[in-house]
Amino acid sequence: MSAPAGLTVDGLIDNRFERGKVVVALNRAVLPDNLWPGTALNEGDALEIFTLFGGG
Amino acid sequence: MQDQFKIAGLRIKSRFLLGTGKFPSNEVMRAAIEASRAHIVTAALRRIDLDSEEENILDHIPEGLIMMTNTSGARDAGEAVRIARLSRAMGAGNWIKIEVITDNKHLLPDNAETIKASAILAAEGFIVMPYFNPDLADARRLRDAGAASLMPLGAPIGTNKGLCTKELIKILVAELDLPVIVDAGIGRPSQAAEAMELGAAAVLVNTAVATAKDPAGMAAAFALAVEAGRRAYLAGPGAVSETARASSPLTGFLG
Repeated sequence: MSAPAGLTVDGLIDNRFERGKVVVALNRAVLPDNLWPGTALNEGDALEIFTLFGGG
Repeated sequence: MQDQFKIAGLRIKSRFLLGTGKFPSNEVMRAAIEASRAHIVTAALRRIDLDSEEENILDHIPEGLIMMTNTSGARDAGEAVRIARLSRAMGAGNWIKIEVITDNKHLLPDNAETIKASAILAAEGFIVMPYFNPDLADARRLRDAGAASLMPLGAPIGTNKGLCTKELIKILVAELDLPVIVDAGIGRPSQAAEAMELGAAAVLVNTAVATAKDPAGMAAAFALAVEAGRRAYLAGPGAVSETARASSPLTGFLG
């Protein structure tokens, strides 16, 4: 998804998902959760959020 | 001597591995996991939206199990490697079932890309469990790439057709000193028992359990079958004969 500018990753994620149950990639690179608070989103950034689903 | 099942030096408590896909609900899935007594369960990594309100599967996995992420959805080695790294970054551990599929009709694995991904991820410290077409030369390449086990398909994913690759799996068991875990296509407990009787170290089942009328009941049945098959393998089945051989004396009763 295209990231909403002006927020940190922490601000975007923290209210919606539990840490340890999602992983975030910013512009294709894994963004460890300890870096969420200090990482500001810019217009055009590609933010991806992943979690586990059922699978065989 | 105790019959221990180890992967990468770790003792695994059950030879029955269970997938978590296709269950009608997370509650049914949890009941099936508990009934299966599985020690390793598999899951898949997927992208979600910010407004996703789905329950997280991790809330329904019993504690103490090994969660092995698969790389389903990967179409080449690079995508499989990315999924594995994302999974580890999330805290899902080092266990990774490598699944690279380029054929959307038959869902057969791409062995060449699987071997590439295995080498990269094994070098990064992952416990690599590759799902592949049971080819002996490729099995040796996977071993050399650092695979901790081999996961040959029994039949195409989700078909419940059983051990269509039986003869090839027998060759892998005979020729390679790695645990062979039959994955995909096993549709009945009897087929799981047959795989174990052949000398497979374990089986991984998903569809046959998740789509059963009573998934927990089917999971329990598979657990018993896997145990029975293993015991039969260790007991050494008798030879097969082309001609009849009497089990009772044929003389000294009449005449």
